[in-house]
This record gives sequence, C-alpha cells and structure tokens, in this order.
Amino acid sequence: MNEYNGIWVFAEARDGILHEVNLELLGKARELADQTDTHVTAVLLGHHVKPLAQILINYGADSVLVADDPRLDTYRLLPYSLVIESLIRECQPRIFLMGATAMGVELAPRLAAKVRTGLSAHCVDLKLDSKGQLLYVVPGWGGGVLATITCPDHQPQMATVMPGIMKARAPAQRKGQIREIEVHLPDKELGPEVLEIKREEPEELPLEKAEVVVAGGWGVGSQEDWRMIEELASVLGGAVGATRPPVDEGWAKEGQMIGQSGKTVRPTLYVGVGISGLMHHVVGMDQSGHIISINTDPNADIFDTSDVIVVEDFRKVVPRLIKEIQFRLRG
Amino acid sequence: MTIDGSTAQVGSQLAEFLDLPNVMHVIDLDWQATHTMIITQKIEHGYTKLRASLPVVLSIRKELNRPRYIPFAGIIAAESKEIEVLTNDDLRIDHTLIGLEGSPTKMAGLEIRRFERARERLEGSVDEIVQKLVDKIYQYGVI
Repeated sequence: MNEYNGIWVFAEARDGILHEVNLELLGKARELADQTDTHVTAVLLGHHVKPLAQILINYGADSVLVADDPRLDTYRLLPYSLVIESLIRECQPRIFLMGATAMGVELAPRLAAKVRTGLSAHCVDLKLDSKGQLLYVVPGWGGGVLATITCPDHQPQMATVMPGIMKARAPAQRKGQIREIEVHLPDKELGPEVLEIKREEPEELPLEKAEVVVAGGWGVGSQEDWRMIEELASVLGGAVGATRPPVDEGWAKEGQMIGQSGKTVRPTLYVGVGISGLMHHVVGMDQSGHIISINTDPNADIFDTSDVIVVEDFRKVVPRLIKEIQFRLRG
Repeated sequence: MTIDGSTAQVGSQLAEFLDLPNVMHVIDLDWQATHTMIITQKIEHGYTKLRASLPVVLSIRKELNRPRYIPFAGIIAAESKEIEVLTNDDLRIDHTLIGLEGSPTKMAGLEIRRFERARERLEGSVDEIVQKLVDKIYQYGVI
C-alpha cells in the first residue's frame, strides 16, 4: 500500500472556467501536503484547457495532469470517468478530493466504484492522523455531533466537499510541472449524448455573498408565515436561507438551503427563525459574524451557536422587528 | 431509490457495478423513441439536455414529478397488498462486500462540536425584546 502517494484535486472546468471549489480544495490539499511532506496534483480535463494549469499551480498545486482532447470538451460522465480511472491506476494517488458540484457528485461515486475504494461525501473538514491517514469529518446522524470517518484499507481515500467550506489560499506566482496526458477512449458510444447546455446567471443576490442572511426552519410552520422571513430579509437588505424542511415543503427554493448538502454562508449577521439547530444546518452557518436566533423552545440546539437568543414566538417578534427597523432606517 | 442521506452515491455506483451509463440530478424525462429518452439534468445555474439509449440508470430530483393524489380506496387497497422482504439469505451476496463489513469507509469517532458564542438571552416584553434586537442589529453595522 506504500506506493500510494500524493494528494489529488479534481479541477472542474466548464466553458473554460475553473469552478471556485477547485481553488478552495487546493488550499486544503496544500495544507495537508505540507504536514506530511507530500505533493499536490491537480487533474484537469477538457479541450483547450491547458492555460488553466498555471492558475491551479498558483493556488497550490505542485503539478497538473492535463488531459486535453476534443472528446473531453463537454463534460460527459463515462469519458471523464474512464480517463480519470486510468490516471488513478497509473499514478496511484493516496488521497483524491473533488468538489460536491453537479459534476463532482456524479463523477466521484462512479470513480470510487471503478477502483473499489471508499468515498465520503459532503465532508465539512479534512485532517490527517499521525500516520498520514485521511480523517473525514461529516455531521453525525441526528445532528449535534460530528463523526470522523476513515478509509483504512483502500486507496485513494476519496472525498467530496461542498463549495464554500474550505478557504482558497491567496494565489502566488509558483513554478510547477505540467504534464499532458494522451487520451485513450474506446471507439464506441460512451453514454448519453449532450444536446444542449443552458445556463442562466441568477438575478438575485447570491445567498453566499449576502451581508445579512435571514434563515427559517420547520418552526416557521407555513407558506404564509414564511413571508415574514422574506420581509425581514428584505428590510435588512439580505438574502433568505432555509433548513431542509422548508425546502421540502416548498416554502423555500433548493438554492436557499444552508448546510451540509446546501450552501455555506458567512454573513456579517445571520438571523435564524424557528430553526432547531441540527448539525447538518449549523456547519453551513457557524462561521457567521453575529448570530441571532428566535425560537420558542428554550432548549433549542441552535442557541449553543448563537450570540443573541430570543425565546419567543417569532410571529409576535418579527412583524414588530420589521416595523422598528423600517422606522430606524427612515431615521 | 433511497436519497441516501442526500450524499447520493447509490445511483452512480450501482450503474458502475451494472456496467451501465447513468445520469444524476434528473429533473425531466421524455421518450424520444422506444429505446431513447431525452433527459434534463440540473446543473449549477441551469440544465443540460441529454439523449440516452436505454438501458440507463437515472437518479432523480424531486422536481421531476409530483406524486399523484392518493384516494381513500387506494389506501384501503394498499392494506391488503403483500410486501415481500428479501434478506441476504435470499440474495446470497458475499458478506465481505456488503453492510458494515463491506464498506470501505469506517466510522473512527464522534465528537461534540463546541461553539464559543455569547448566548445572551434577551428578556422582557415583546416590545422590549424588539428594541434590544434593533439596537444589536444597529451595533453590528448592517442597518
């Protein structure tokens, strides 16, 4: 098993643009590699993507494997997984990190199954033990705890991480090795054919960039009362976030979910309303500057993560709070 | 298929073991011909349209469909339907490949996460609480 060496980061590029999560993962990979005196390799697939390799080096990679081929121009699961599988078999990385993006979430498990290794999805932290084994940190079942997962007998130790969890390093002019890979793909149909890709830039302020986030949970209770959450966010010039139940109920949109399988936010002010505080949500907001929580349950777990606590029915507090803020804003 | 703690590994891995193509994040499906489907896959800020020959393994998102209304007669009818439970005595899968024993990842420990927050509880009438809240928000510099 000793021949396995090095930390790999998958570099996701769509339309010639690197996803931000790659740069965040490179920051983490660099930190882990420096602890164990090993190297960081970025794996870049696409067509005409070679100029991106230097960016990956500047953000922490020691070397970049570039598979540049017209057949890899548009992401397709089977060609991408076949190319990466052959690279894993040839180079035997010890650790392989991928972003939990639409692409990464589809690709990572397929790759793990191909090379018969373990994958821990949606990790909120990554560490190394004294033997250099990867410790994956994920929220525990039921919330309140963090579980440490290992992949002791299989390599590479694979993990996916949601965008926004790790921090990218400041880029620096660095020297690294860029190696171009010859792409060998079987001459047959490789899964579904891409007919069209449509992307729209969101019009609203992205949740993860908002200075104020007002988030609601199951305790909000109804679509009608959810409007109070939206109105409070609006007077504060902020964005609306949610835990999973409001998204499942249809009060909030999928893109508004904060937490392990949603977004990570670090606003100046986070206001949580009717949120119990399961770890799955908390890992997505506990880096916020100031945290105010409103909940009728005096023992709500969210209070452990809060600077200011209000034990009261939000239906009484929020409408008056909205009026009072409007009054102050008018000066 | 289970949503698998929302970590969504089952679809892709099952497809790999079956040596079939797969598509995740499916939000719409249409027949194009008897053995061809047009699949809409959700990606960041948009979607991809794919044409797939069958067989293909699909992992769907809840936007795909709204479950139909369950009539009372259907609930009654469900009571009398037989549910077949299969265990590994029936399936006879190598036990080193399944369950806890077969999982390449293991749980190594659990920790309670400690947070360093002030946890200052605002007391008083609703009006007093609202005043204190607005003062706090003002101090944070966001209004």
